[in-house]
Order: sequence, then structure tokens, then C-alpha cells
Amino acid sequence: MASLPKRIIKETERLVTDPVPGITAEPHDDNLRYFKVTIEGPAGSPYENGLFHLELYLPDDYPMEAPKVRFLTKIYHPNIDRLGRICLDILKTNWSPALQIRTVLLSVQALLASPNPNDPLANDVAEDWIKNETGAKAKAKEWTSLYAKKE
Amino acid sequence: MKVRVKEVYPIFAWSWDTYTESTDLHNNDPLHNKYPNKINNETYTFLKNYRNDIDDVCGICRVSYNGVCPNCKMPGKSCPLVVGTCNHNFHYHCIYRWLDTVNSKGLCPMCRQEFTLKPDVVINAKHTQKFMELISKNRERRLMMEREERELNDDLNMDEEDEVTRDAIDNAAGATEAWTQVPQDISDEEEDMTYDDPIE
Repeated sequence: MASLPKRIIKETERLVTDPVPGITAEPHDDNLRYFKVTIEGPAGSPYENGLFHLELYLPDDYPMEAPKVRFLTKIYHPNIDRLGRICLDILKTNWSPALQIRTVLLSVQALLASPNPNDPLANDVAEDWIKNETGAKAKAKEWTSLYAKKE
Repeated sequence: MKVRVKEVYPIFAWSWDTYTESTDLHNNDPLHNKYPNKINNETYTFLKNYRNDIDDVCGICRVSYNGVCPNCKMPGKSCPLVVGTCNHNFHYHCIYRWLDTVNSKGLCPMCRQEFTLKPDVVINAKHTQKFMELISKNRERRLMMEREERELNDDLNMDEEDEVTRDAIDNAAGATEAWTQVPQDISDEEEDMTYDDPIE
């Protein structure tokens, strides 16, 4: 494996010494491009009090290419499908090498706070969200307490 | 008191001349007006840039402007710096690699404006040609993407129209000709959906 670019080392150090509130990211011992991530559900959202596990991978071309991020914890959200894939513009077409791991994870946290059912990835969830927002939010809350329990 | 200089240790430093309005700043600097002959424009620019360059890093690789991009060993001429019209500076290699990707759409990573080299900046001069080529390549790509998107939208709209007309045709007799075309489109669509988003 090629040596780890300085930028990744710097980013990793800063994630540990100066973590983002409500977010943890730790590189895997065997592969320093693979991170175990947790995000706390934002207060005031149906995901409040939940702890969500994610995986983040920095491709060889990073930062020319966006990191790959996926939810491991089951979540009821119109922009996250049942495989944990996330529909977020900065992870796809609007990626910029000026963004970094921490800004990406902050955006994911913001996505939890403001779901966007008009640009859905999980179509059934989005439909539910548009037709019956209260019910959908209750379901999201229920899934949070079922699957995203803090240890 | 008489002082005799016994030895002199000259220390040198360098920095890229990023030409970030330092001459204007210099002329407006009260210190300069007080001692107009103490430091000249060039020295002022140098000091200002030097100070900035220590703090400022390339927005792509996050190494100081005076440092090197991830693929270079020696700072300086072999790993030059370029200044954007938007006043964002990058190592030449870093920004070139980014603008050469389809995803960049030719935009500055910091402000998402089209990235062009700032004219009349000395250190940009050598790279103007290369960047002009990149810009036109990206403009072509963008046009092509827009065209594809338009065609895709047209196709989708046509499908919708088809659905409406199909109902009408359903009721009308003797319109079998138009029918043959329609189910073809639908099966295509279904196929697309099955192969969509392969799991990594």
C-alpha cells in the first residue's frame, strides 16, 4: 500500500485531538483509510438520544474523490436507504477537495436534523414522510430506540 | 561607542509572489507613510506574503504554500504555486489534478466559481496555456453534461406524454401502430431499475 498522504494523517490527528461534538471517527488499525464513525442523533429530531454507527472509507484518489460513507445502524430516513447508503450532494456531484472528513460528517449530522423527502433515496420512506409526516417521524423515533440504542 | 562587526550570518528566506493586493496595502500602511524610505514595495510584499504563507495552506493538500504537494519532494520551482482570479491559491499540481477530474466541473474547490488563473500575476504566467486548455476541456464537458441531462428530461417527459396518450389510444380503435412503441419503453425502464445501484 502506498504511504498515507500527509493530509489524511493531519485530519486523523485533528479528529482525535479536537473532535466534533456528537461525532467520533477512529481509523481502523489495519487500514488507516477506513474509519469507524458514530454520530449522535441531533437534539429536536426523531433521532435524538440515538447513537448511529457508520463506516467511512477514503478512496485512493481522496481528496480528489469524495469519501465513501454508509450507515451501519438501521435508520428510518427518506435520504438513507435500507443498505445505509446516503443521498447527499457533497458525497456525489458537489464534492470538493476543500471538504474534509469532519465537514462531511457534520453534513451527515445535519441531514439527520433536516430530512429532504423531495430528493429521496428510500422512496417508500419519502412517500410516507410527505403523506404523513407525524406518523413517519414517530416511526423514525421508534426505530431510533429499537436500533440506535446507546450502550 | 564604536562597534566592529566581526562576522555576519546572512539568513535567506523565500516565498511565492502571490500579489495579493500587497502594494495597495503597502501604500496605505501608516508605518510606511511615517518612514517612507524604510522598506520598499518589494520588501513589504515579501514580508506580507511570507507571513501569510506560513499560516496559509493549500486548500487541497493542506500543506503550506511554500511546502510541496503530496507527490513532490523539493519545494520551489518544481512544485509551483498558482493564484486564482478568485484569490484562492493552490499548488499547481493539486489544482491541476482536481480540474482534470470530471467531478470538478472546472470549479474552484473553495468558492465553486470557475477556476481561472489571475491575470498579470508573475508566477501564473508559465501555466496560462495549460490552464486555458483545461478550462476549455471542462467547458466542453459541462456543455455535454447539460445536453445529456436535457435529453434525459425530454425522454422522461415523452414517457409521461406516452402514458397519457396511451389511455387515449386505449379507447380509440385502430391505433395499434403507436402501441408497439410504448411497451418497449416501459420494459427498458424496468430493466434499468433492476440493475440500478449495485451493492458494493
